Amino acid sequence: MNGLSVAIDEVAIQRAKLGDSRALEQVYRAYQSSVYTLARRICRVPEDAEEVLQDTFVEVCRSIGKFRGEGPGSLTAWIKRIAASKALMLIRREKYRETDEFNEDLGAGSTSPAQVGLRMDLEAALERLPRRSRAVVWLHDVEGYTHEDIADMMGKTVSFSKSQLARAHARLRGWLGEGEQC
Amino acid sequence: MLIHCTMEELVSIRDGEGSAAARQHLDACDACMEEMERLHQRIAHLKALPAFEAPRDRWPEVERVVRGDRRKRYARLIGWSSLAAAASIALLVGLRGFSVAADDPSKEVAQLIEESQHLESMLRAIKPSSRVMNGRMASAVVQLEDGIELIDETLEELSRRRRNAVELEQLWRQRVQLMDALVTTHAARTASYVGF
Repeated sequence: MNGLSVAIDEVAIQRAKLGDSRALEQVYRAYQSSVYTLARRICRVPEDAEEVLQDTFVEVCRSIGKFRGEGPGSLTAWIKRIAASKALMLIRREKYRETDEFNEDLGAGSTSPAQVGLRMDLEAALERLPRRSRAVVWLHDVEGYTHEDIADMMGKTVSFSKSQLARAHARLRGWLGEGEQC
Repeated sequence: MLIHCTMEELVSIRDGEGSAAARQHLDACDACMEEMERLHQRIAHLKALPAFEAPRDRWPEVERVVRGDRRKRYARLIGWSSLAAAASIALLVGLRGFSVAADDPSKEVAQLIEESQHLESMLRAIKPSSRVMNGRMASAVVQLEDGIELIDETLEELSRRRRNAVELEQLWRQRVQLMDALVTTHAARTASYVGF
C-alpha cells in the first residue's frame, strides 16, 4: 500500500532517461499515488501534498538523465528521496509553524482524549502530531529511513530525529488510549 | 527499585540499538515487554494505513513545465552548437588549408546547423503560439516537437562525450527534416494570415 508501485520496466526507465515524454508519463503514473501519500502524511494539507507531487515529478523529469541507479527498486528509492525532501522543505514554511504551535498546545494538555470521551483513531492521532514529529514517524516507521537519513534531510542531528520519534510514540500511545505507560 | 524502559529506550531497542541494561530489563519485565508489543502493533497499523489518491491529475502541469525547460535548453544548445561547430571547422580549415574534402562530415554538420537555424528563424517569424489549431494539427505538431526534443537530448548527450562526426551529421539531418515539417505545418495553418 504505502510502498511505491513498481509497475514500470527497465525499458521504460531507459526511455525516460532519454527524455521520452511517454516514458516519463509512465513513471509519473506508476509512482504518483505513493508520492502523494507520502506528501499527504507529512504535509497533512491536500493542496500542499499536490504541490509536492508536482514539484517532485518536475524534478524527476529534469534529473532522470543523471539517475545512475538500475532497476525499478533504485528508481523507487530515488523518487521517494526527492518527494521526502520536497515535503520537508514545504513544512518549514511559516504557516506550518503557526499550525504546529496550535497542535503542540493540544498535545501538551493534561486532558487525555479518554477523559473528554473521545478516543482517537490512528489516522487522526497521526494528523494531530506536530509537523516534524509526524514527518519523523512516517519517514522512519513507514518509509524505512534511518535516523541518519532523516537528520540529513531535515538539517538536524540524529539525536533530534530519535527524540522526536520517541516523543511522537509517547503521544500517540496516550491519544490512542493504550493504557498506562510502564 | 524497578526502573522501566522509557519510550526512547524502547524505540532504540526496536532499531537494534539501546543500552545493554535496557535490553536486559526488557527481557525480564513483562510490563515493558507489553509496551514493546504495543509499539510494534502501532507501527504495523501505521504501515497499514490506506494510500491517498491525488484529487487531480498533475501530469499535464508537470509536462508543461518540463517542455518549457527543454525549449530554453534547446535555445542555448543551438547557440553553443553553432559556435562550437564554427570553431571546429575554422580549426580544421586552418590546419588543412583548403584541402577539406567536399564530403567532409564536419562541413556537412556545419551546413545542417545553418539550415536548422534558418528554419528556426522562419518558425519564429510565423509565431506558432499565436494562432489556434485543430486537434489533428496539434497532435502532428506535438509529435514533431517531441521528435525534435528527443534529437536535442541526444545531441546534448553527445556534446558531453567524444563526438562522432557521422552520428552528429545524421542527427542534425533528422533535425532539419523535422524542423522543415514543423515549419510547413505551421506555415500551412497561418497561410491566410501571411498571404502564402
